[in-house]
Amino acid sequence: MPKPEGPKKTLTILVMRGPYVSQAPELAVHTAIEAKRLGYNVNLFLYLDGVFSSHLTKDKEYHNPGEWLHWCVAKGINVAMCSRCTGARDLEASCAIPGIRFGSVWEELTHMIHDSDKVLTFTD
Amino acid sequence: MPDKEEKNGTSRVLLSLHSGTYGRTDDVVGAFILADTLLTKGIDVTILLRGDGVYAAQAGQRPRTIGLDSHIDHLEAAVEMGATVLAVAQDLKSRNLSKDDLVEYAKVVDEKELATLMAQHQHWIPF
Repeated sequence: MPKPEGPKKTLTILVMRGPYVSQAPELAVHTAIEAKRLGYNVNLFLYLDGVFSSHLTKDKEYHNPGEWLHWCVAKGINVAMCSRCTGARDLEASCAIPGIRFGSVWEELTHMIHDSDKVLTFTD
Repeated sequence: MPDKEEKNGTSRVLLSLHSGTYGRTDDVVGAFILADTLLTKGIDVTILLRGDGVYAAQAGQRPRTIGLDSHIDHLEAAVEMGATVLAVAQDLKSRNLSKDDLVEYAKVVDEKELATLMAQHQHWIPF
Protein backbone atom coordinates (compact mmCIF):
# COMPACT_ATOMS: atom_id res chain seq x y z
CA MET A 1 0.00 0.00 0.00
CA PRO A 2 1.57 3.32 -1.02
CA LYS A 3 2.16 5.99 1.58
CA PRO A 4 -0.36 8.79 1.04
CA GLU A 5 0.99 12.05 -0.30
CA GLY A 6 -0.37 15.47 0.48
CA PRO A 7 -3.32 15.91 2.84
CA LYS A 8 -4.12 12.96 5.04
CA LYS A 9 -6.45 10.60 3.22
CA THR A 10 -9.32 8.66 4.68
CA LEU A 11 -9.96 4.98 4.14
CA THR A 12 -13.20 3.29 5.17
CA ILE A 13 -13.24 -0.48 5.46
CA LEU A 14 -16.51 -2.38 5.48
CA VAL A 15 -16.56 -5.88 6.97
CA MET A 16 -19.61 -7.93 6.09
CA ARG A 17 -18.66 -11.44 7.12
CA GLY A 18 -18.26 -13.02 10.51
CA PRO A 19 -15.20 -14.60 12.08
CA TYR A 20 -13.95 -18.13 11.32
CA VAL A 21 -16.48 -18.79 8.56
CA SER A 22 -14.65 -16.25 6.42
CA GLN A 23 -11.22 -14.69 6.21
CA ALA A 24 -12.81 -11.30 5.56
CA PRO A 25 -12.42 -9.99 9.16
CA GLU A 26 -8.76 -10.99 9.27
CA LEU A 27 -7.91 -9.38 5.94
CA ALA A 28 -9.88 -6.27 6.80
CA VAL A 29 -8.23 -5.74 10.16
CA HIS A 30 -4.74 -6.30 8.82
CA THR A 31 -5.43 -3.85 6.01
CA ALA A 32 -6.76 -1.31 8.50
CA ILE A 33 -3.72 -1.58 10.76
CA GLU A 34 -1.30 -1.27 7.85
CA ALA A 35 -3.18 1.74 6.46
CA LYS A 36 -3.09 3.38 9.88
CA ARG A 37 0.63 2.72 10.15
CA LEU A 38 1.12 4.44 6.80
CA GLY A 39 -0.70 7.53 8.00
CA TYR A 40 -4.23 7.16 6.68
CA ASN A 41 -7.29 8.07 8.67
CA VAL A 42 -9.01 4.72 8.95
CA ASN A 43 -12.64 3.87 9.64
CA LEU A 44 -13.67 0.27 10.18
CA PHE A 45 -17.39 -0.45 10.03
CA LEU A 46 -18.78 -3.87 10.97
CA TYR A 47 -21.89 -4.55 8.93
CA LEU A 48 -24.22 -7.56 8.58
CA ASP A 49 -22.49 -10.69 9.98
CA GLY A 50 -19.36 -8.61 10.43
CA VAL A 51 -20.70 -7.48 13.79
CA PHE A 52 -20.01 -10.90 15.35
CA SER A 53 -16.28 -10.14 15.57
CA SER A 54 -17.02 -7.24 17.91
CA HIS A 55 -18.13 -9.69 20.60
CA LEU A 56 -15.07 -11.95 20.63
CA THR A 57 -13.76 -10.78 24.00
CA LYS A 58 -12.26 -13.98 25.44
CA ASP A 59 -8.76 -15.38 24.93
CA LYS A 60 -8.47 -18.16 22.43
CA GLU A 61 -5.86 -20.79 21.62
CA TYR A 62 -6.19 -19.99 17.95
CA HIS A 63 -6.42 -16.84 15.88
CA ASN A 64 -8.74 -14.27 17.32
CA PRO A 65 -10.32 -11.52 15.20
CA GLY A 66 -11.63 -9.97 18.40
CA GLU A 67 -8.11 -9.42 19.62
CA TRP A 68 -7.21 -7.80 16.31
CA LEU A 69 -10.16 -5.45 16.63
CA HIS A 70 -8.91 -4.56 20.09
CA TRP A 71 -5.57 -3.63 18.49
CA CYS A 72 -7.42 -1.49 15.95
CA VAL A 73 -9.11 0.48 18.72
CA ALA A 74 -5.80 0.82 20.59
CA LYS A 75 -4.11 2.20 17.46
CA GLY A 76 -6.73 4.88 17.01
CA ILE A 77 -8.73 3.32 14.21
CA ASN A 78 -12.33 4.47 14.29
CA VAL A 79 -14.24 1.21 14.75
CA ALA A 80 -18.03 1.09 14.73
CA MET A 81 -20.65 -1.58 14.29
CA CYS A 82 -24.13 -1.48 12.86
CA SER A 83 -26.60 -1.25 15.73
CA ARG A 84 -29.42 -2.68 13.65
CA CYS A 85 -27.29 -5.69 12.71
CA THR A 86 -26.26 -6.31 16.33
CA GLY A 87 -29.85 -6.01 17.47
CA ALA A 88 -30.97 -8.48 14.84
CA ARG A 89 -28.43 -10.95 16.20
CA ASP A 90 -29.27 -10.34 19.88
CA LEU A 91 -25.80 -8.96 20.56
CA GLU A 92 -25.57 -6.63 23.55
CA ALA A 93 -23.58 -3.40 23.58
CA SER A 94 -22.32 -4.17 27.06
CA CYS A 95 -20.65 -7.36 25.81
CA ALA A 96 -18.74 -5.78 22.95
CA ILE A 97 -15.02 -5.06 22.83
CA PRO A 98 -14.48 -1.72 24.61
CA GLY A 99 -13.97 1.17 22.26
CA ILE A 100 -16.09 -0.19 19.43
CA ARG A 101 -19.01 2.14 19.05
CA PHE A 102 -22.57 1.24 18.27
CA GLY A 103 -23.38 3.17 15.14
CA SER A 104 -26.04 3.18 12.50
CA VAL A 105 -25.95 3.02 8.77
CA TRP A 106 -27.78 6.33 8.85
CA GLU A 107 -25.52 8.21 11.24
CA GLU A 108 -22.17 6.52 10.82
CA LEU A 109 -21.74 4.62 7.63
CA THR A 110 -23.09 7.19 5.21
CA HIS A 111 -20.83 9.83 6.72
CA MET A 112 -17.85 7.51 6.57
CA ILE A 113 -18.50 6.77 2.90
CA HIS A 114 -19.14 10.39 2.05
CA ASP A 115 -15.97 11.60 3.73
CA SER A 116 -13.69 8.85 2.46
CA ASP A 117 -11.19 8.93 -0.34
CA LYS A 118 -11.59 5.19 -0.74
CA VAL A 119 -13.95 2.50 0.52
CA LEU A 120 -12.86 -1.13 0.69
CA THR A 121 -15.35 -3.92 1.24
CA PHE A 122 -14.46 -7.32 2.68
CA THR A 123 -17.10 -9.92 1.93
CA ASP A 124 -17.31 -13.18 -0.05
CA MET B 1 -23.15 16.23 6.50
CA PRO B 2 -21.04 18.66 4.45
CA ASP B 3 -21.91 19.53 0.92
CA LYS B 4 -21.13 16.50 -1.18
CA GLU B 5 -19.04 18.59 -3.52
CA GLU B 6 -16.97 19.87 -0.65
CA LYS B 7 -14.49 17.12 -0.12
CA ASN B 8 -14.42 14.63 -2.94
CA GLY B 9 -16.42 16.17 -5.74
CA THR B 10 -19.76 14.71 -6.66
CA SER B 11 -20.45 11.67 -4.54
CA ARG B 12 -21.65 8.69 -6.50
CA VAL B 13 -21.76 5.23 -5.01
CA LEU B 14 -22.11 2.01 -6.97
CA LEU B 15 -23.68 -0.78 -4.94
CA SER B 16 -22.93 -4.03 -6.71
CA LEU B 17 -25.28 -6.82 -5.72
CA HIS B 18 -24.06 -10.33 -6.53
CA SER B 19 -26.32 -12.39 -4.29
CA GLY B 20 -29.65 -13.89 -5.20
CA THR B 21 -32.74 -12.71 -3.43
CA TYR B 22 -34.28 -14.49 -0.42
CA GLY B 23 -31.53 -17.09 -0.09
CA ARG B 24 -29.16 -14.27 0.89
CA THR B 25 -31.60 -11.84 2.43
CA ASP B 26 -29.08 -10.13 4.70
CA ASP B 27 -26.84 -9.11 1.82
CA VAL B 28 -29.72 -7.93 -0.32
CA VAL B 29 -31.53 -6.01 2.40
CA GLY B 30 -28.21 -4.69 3.70
CA ALA B 31 -27.51 -3.23 0.27
CA PHE B 32 -30.98 -1.70 0.02
CA ILE B 33 -30.78 -0.16 3.50
CA LEU B 34 -27.46 1.42 2.59
CA ALA B 35 -28.90 2.64 -0.72
CA ASP B 36 -31.84 4.18 1.10
CA THR B 37 -29.68 6.08 3.58
CA LEU B 38 -27.19 7.28 0.98
CA LEU B 39 -29.99 8.57 -1.24
CA THR B 40 -31.65 10.29 1.69
CA LYS B 41 -28.37 12.06 2.41
CA GLY B 42 -28.21 13.32 -1.17
CA ILE B 43 -25.63 10.87 -2.48
CA ASP B 44 -26.24 9.43 -5.95
CA VAL B 45 -26.61 5.66 -5.99
CA THR B 46 -26.45 3.13 -8.78
CA ILE B 47 -27.54 -0.42 -7.95
CA LEU B 48 -25.74 -2.83 -10.24
CA LEU B 49 -27.16 -6.34 -10.37
CA ARG B 50 -24.58 -8.96 -11.29
CA GLY B 51 -24.63 -12.73 -11.26
CA ASP B 52 -27.50 -14.04 -9.18
CA GLY B 53 -28.14 -10.45 -8.14
CA VAL B 54 -30.16 -9.97 -11.35
CA TYR B 55 -32.99 -11.93 -9.72
CA ALA B 56 -33.58 -8.94 -7.45
CA ALA B 57 -35.19 -7.09 -10.36
CA GLN B 58 -37.24 -9.98 -11.71
CA ALA B 59 -40.86 -8.96 -12.15
CA GLY B 60 -43.65 -10.94 -10.59
CA GLN B 61 -41.88 -11.97 -7.40
CA ARG B 62 -44.29 -13.40 -4.85
CA PRO B 63 -42.19 -14.20 -1.80
CA ARG B 64 -45.09 -13.54 0.53
CA THR B 65 -46.43 -16.92 -0.50
CA ILE B 66 -43.59 -18.35 1.59
CA GLY B 67 -43.86 -15.71 4.30
CA LEU B 68 -41.10 -13.37 3.17
CA ASP B 69 -41.28 -9.66 2.43
CA SER B 70 -40.67 -8.66 -1.15
CA HIS B 71 -37.32 -7.13 -1.99
CA ILE B 72 -38.99 -5.38 -4.89
CA ASP B 73 -40.48 -2.93 -2.38
CA HIS B 74 -36.96 -1.90 -1.36
CA LEU B 75 -35.87 -1.61 -4.96
CA GLU B 76 -38.86 0.54 -5.88
CA ALA B 77 -38.25 2.80 -2.90
CA ALA B 78 -34.66 3.30 -3.99
CA VAL B 79 -35.74 4.14 -7.53
CA GLU B 80 -38.32 6.60 -6.26
CA MET B 81 -35.52 8.37 -4.39
CA GLY B 82 -33.43 8.58 -7.55
CA ALA B 83 -31.42 5.38 -7.72
CA THR B 84 -30.53 3.85 -11.06
CA VAL B 85 -30.93 0.08 -11.36
CA LEU B 86 -28.78 -1.77 -13.87
CA ALA B 87 -28.64 -5.49 -14.66
CA VAL B 88 -25.79 -7.05 -16.60
CA ALA B 89 -26.95 -8.45 -19.95
CA GLN B 90 -24.66 -11.47 -19.91
CA ASP B 91 -25.77 -12.46 -16.41
CA LEU B 92 -29.40 -12.22 -17.49
CA LYS B 93 -28.79 -14.31 -20.58
CA SER B 94 -26.97 -17.03 -18.66
CA ARG B 95 -30.05 -17.34 -16.44
CA ASN B 96 -32.44 -17.43 -19.39
CA LEU B 97 -33.75 -13.99 -18.49
CA SER B 98 -34.15 -10.88 -20.62
CA LYS B 99 -35.12 -7.26 -20.08
CA ASP B 100 -38.75 -8.31 -20.51
CA ASP B 101 -38.49 -10.40 -17.35
CA LEU B 102 -37.41 -7.44 -15.24
CA VAL B 103 -39.30 -4.65 -13.56
CA GLU B 104 -39.74 -1.76 -15.96
CA TYR B 105 -37.32 0.61 -14.25
CA ALA B 106 -34.37 -1.78 -14.51
CA LYS B 107 -32.01 -1.05 -17.35
CA VAL B 108 -29.70 -3.54 -19.00
CA VAL B 109 -26.00 -2.87 -19.29
CA ASP B 110 -23.36 -4.81 -21.20
CA GLU B 111 -20.48 -6.11 -19.11
CA LYS B 112 -18.09 -4.28 -21.44
CA GLU B 113 -19.46 -1.07 -19.96
CA LEU B 114 -18.69 -2.01 -16.36
CA ALA B 115 -15.20 -0.55 -16.22
CA THR B 116 -16.51 2.80 -17.42
CA LEU B 117 -19.39 2.55 -15.01
CA MET B 118 -17.08 1.95 -12.07
CA ALA B 119 -14.89 4.84 -13.14
CA GLN B 120 -17.94 7.11 -13.03
CA HIS B 121 -18.49 6.35 -9.35
CA GLN B 122 -16.41 7.43 -6.43
CA HIS B 123 -16.98 4.25 -4.46
CA TRP B 124 -17.84 0.70 -5.45
CA ILE B 125 -19.31 -1.42 -2.67
CA PRO B 126 -20.00 -5.08 -3.46
CA PHE B 127 -22.55 -7.15 -1.58
